[in-house]
Amino acid sequence: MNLQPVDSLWIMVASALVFVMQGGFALLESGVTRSKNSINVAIKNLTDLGISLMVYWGVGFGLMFGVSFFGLIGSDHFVFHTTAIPWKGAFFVFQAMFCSTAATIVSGAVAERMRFSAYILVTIIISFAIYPVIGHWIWGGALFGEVQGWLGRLGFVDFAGSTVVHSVGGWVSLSALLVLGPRLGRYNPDNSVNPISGSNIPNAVTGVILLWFGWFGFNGGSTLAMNDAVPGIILRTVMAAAAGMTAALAVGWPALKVADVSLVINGSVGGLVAITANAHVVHEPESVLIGAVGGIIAALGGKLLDRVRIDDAVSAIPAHLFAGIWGTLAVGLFGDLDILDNGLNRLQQIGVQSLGIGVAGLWALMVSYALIWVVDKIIPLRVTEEDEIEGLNSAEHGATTEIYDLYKTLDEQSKTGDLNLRAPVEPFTEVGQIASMYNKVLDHLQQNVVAKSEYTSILDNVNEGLFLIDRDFVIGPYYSGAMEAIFRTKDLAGQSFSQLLNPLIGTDLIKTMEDFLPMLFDEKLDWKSVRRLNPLSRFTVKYPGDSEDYVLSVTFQRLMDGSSVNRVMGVARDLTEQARLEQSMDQVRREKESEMDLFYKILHMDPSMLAEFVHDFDSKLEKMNLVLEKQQGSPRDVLKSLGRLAHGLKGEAALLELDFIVEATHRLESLIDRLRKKSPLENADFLNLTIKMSELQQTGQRMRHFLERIESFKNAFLDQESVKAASETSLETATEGFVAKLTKLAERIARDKGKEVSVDAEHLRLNLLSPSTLKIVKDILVQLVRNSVVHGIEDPNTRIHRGKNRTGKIRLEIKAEDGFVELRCQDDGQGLDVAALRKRALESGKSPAEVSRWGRADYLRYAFSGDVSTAEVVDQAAGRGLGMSWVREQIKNLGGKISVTFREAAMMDIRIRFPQEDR
Amino acid sequence: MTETELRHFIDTVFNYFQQLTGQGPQMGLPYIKNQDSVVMDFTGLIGISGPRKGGIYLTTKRDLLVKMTQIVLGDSSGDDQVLLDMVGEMANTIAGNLQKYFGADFQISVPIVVSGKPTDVSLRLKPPSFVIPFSWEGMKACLVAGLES
Repeated sequence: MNLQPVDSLWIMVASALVFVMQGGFALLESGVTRSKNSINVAIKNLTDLGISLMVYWGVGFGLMFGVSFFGLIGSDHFVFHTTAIPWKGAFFVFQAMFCSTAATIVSGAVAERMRFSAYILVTIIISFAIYPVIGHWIWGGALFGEVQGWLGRLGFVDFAGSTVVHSVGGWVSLSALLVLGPRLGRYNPDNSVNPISGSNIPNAVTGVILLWFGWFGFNGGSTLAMNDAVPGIILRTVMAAAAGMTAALAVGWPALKVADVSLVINGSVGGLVAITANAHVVHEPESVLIGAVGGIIAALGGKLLDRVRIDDAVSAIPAHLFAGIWGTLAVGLFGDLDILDNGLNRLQQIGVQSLGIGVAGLWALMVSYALIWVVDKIIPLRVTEEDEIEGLNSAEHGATTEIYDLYKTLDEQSKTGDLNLRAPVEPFTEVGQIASMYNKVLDHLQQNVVAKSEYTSILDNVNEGLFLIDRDFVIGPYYSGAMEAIFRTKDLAGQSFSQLLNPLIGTDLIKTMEDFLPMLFDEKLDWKSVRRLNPLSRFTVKYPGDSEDYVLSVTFQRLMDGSSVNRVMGVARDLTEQARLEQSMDQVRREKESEMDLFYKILHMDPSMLAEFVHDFDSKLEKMNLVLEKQQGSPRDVLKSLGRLAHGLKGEAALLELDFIVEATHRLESLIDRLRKKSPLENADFLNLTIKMSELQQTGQRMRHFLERIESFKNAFLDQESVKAASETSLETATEGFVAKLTKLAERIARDKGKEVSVDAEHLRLNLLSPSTLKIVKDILVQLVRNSVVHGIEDPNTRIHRGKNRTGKIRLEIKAEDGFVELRCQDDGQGLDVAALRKRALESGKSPAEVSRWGRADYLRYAFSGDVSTAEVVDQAAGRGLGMSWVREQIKNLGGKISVTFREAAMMDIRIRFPQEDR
Repeated sequence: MTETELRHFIDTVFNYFQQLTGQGPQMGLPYIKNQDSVVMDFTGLIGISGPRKGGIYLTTKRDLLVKMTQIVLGDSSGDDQVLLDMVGEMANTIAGNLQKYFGADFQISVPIVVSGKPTDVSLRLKPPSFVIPFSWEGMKACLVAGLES
């Protein structure tokens, strides 16, 4: 070959232009893939350049351009070094760039899922076993200016590598994709395709422009000389690219209904690839046609691949393989046979082109598939699912971008819900600004969420029911947990407040409340006055299925928005416990008052009468208890008996004006009444009754203790006097002390009754009595004297009328004889008032016939029976007829006898005899 | 004592029999005892200390205990010692269940079991004692409780 230095220069320039294509590929492929993988794609582009150059230098160039072994494979020029011919160096560089181009096509197709290490192996496979072999078949002998490869010798023409470079890259891409499979999420089960947008389309477009620029060298340099053909070749290359782009847009825009970026990118590349095989043998119009078809194939071929779920990330297969096949075939279809000048007619040319396409494809696909399959077994081609999701930038290279950091933060946050995380802010970048805005949003969100959680925790824990109502009285979404407990209703939000209350309260209150609620929202009404009208400040509710009454309170507070009331806050409280406490305190207070009352009453009451009442009270209660214990008849019969007894008890207490007991027995009686009406009546219902009875028993006990205390007080008082008397060694003095009091008592009662009396106790020898008897005798004396003054002695007028001294006389005497003591009480009063007794007897229901038969003894017995008193007025001194019966009881206790003589209107003489005890 | 508390006594006894035998007892009318006591053939007494000082006892007729030992222990010997154990166990379980209601302050002693008619059984009780008579399958027993209020 006769080559000039200018040829070498041109080849070197062309090599540099082809080298620029590496940058174009890097920009294009990283631009149309997602940013999480962009670094990985770019690194692969640079890496495959270096690796392929090494392999091509070591082995590939020799296999491709070494002296041919039967047209199948080159056999020398391994580990290439420059020879004496400088042009060979330029040739090597130019061819090495081609090899790298073939290798780098794969990186785009398999982007976003392939392991970096496996990719390097694939690069080695292309540079060693695929590209050089097919290259030798077609271009073998070019180093020596002759045709040595078997396909070349058959007349197969591939000017700048539509098949050798681009189809080979496409075939290997296809093999790799068949092994790899599509990216995660690319295809849906119904075969529809999820678009995966590129990260930086301007870069991709710049990449295509660089490719286009590089192609000047790719095709223009393939003449391997700076000759006249070069300008035409570059012209047709440019026109094919332009036509490819235009045609892709023209066809694709209406088809896709949008001027998709991929149309211009793939259309341009497709046009360039298609013209590569034939740029030197076609004319300009044909180059436009070839480029246009190539562009359309490249732009729309991706759809075909998607049909069979081959996920080519950058449409490398349509642009390089499909358009490459088309371009190679176009040599046969449109090639100027004169320029071709290989002795083949058009059909033969088409035939040999087809053969070349077929065998090259077969070799490239089979060998690459087999080798990649083996590689996959050694190093799995595909990254793990997690890595693929995370992105290959970080997973494969530990490289991050600010958008990746933002993504990581968001991902972490979406998984943990941790609002404390903040995105890293890269200053002066768009992502940094997004991150900083995001952080601000998060600040507000966190503040709100934290504040809200504080409010809700207050609402959850506060004891009062807090809630808001709007103008329609609807309860707002946030209310305190206590609300549900107080109103015994769940999910109050959105409920009407009055609807909530209606089932719980009476109709009157419902009406009042419905009048009141609108006033809460009427700004014209003075708030203080409105608040005072609140009918719910304290009200009683009845819950369904609960017979008890509960006391609630709801107070309101207007929430002003400017001058209008938007909402009203309500505070609901359960006052039941408080009300019950108040009630029981009230009861205790009343009981205390009653007890004071009781105390006062008892102080003024004849102790003997009280003693009798208490005794009776106890025994009646015991009787009631026995009725329960024996349980004769049905529970209702029992209640009937109990009711009778309780009524009797109440009557007696009323007689003595013991209001406290009257009230208590009244409550007992009402309880019995309630139980009698209750249906069904259960035995357990008697529990309350039993408790009430035990309370009454305790009251009886208290009265007994009280009585004892009065007794002991009296005794202490008397004992003191007797001690004093003893110190004066005069028992008479002690007796005189009592006698003096007795006299005073008689005079006081007489004065109260408008009578006059004198007591003669000269012979009252109290010292004859033992201490225990003395106590009883003193009580008896009090009763006897009281009885004489009240019932015996007449008023002064009557006495004068009867011819007596106006002052009545009572004589008291104690004497001892024959081991017996005789106590005597004489008065000069009216004796026994038989007429009054008869009247009383008839009134109390005795039959007139029976009374008419009564003699003196019968009247006496009646007078002492305890059922009668002849006093006209019931007062503290007498009138209940209980005094004398008590005396009779005491005499019985002493083992004594009583004898009474009287003369009407003249005198009464009572004698009591009982055995003397030793003192 | 309050009505609610006494109702709880009734419920506890009822549940005890219901759960063990599937047959709840019939309650009689409750009444009060102050000094004297109600004692049947066998008695299990539990002393209570804490704020509610006093005692609870379960007293039953012999036949009831014999039936219960058959059901609960599978022992039909009718041996006095077995019956005493049974009445103690019953008193203990009932008092233990009551403890759940009255709280941990309601401290219960180990059961004291007696047969016959001892006079001092009510000494542990704080009057007034409430007697809740009941009959189970026609056989009589009483739960008696006297606690400080």
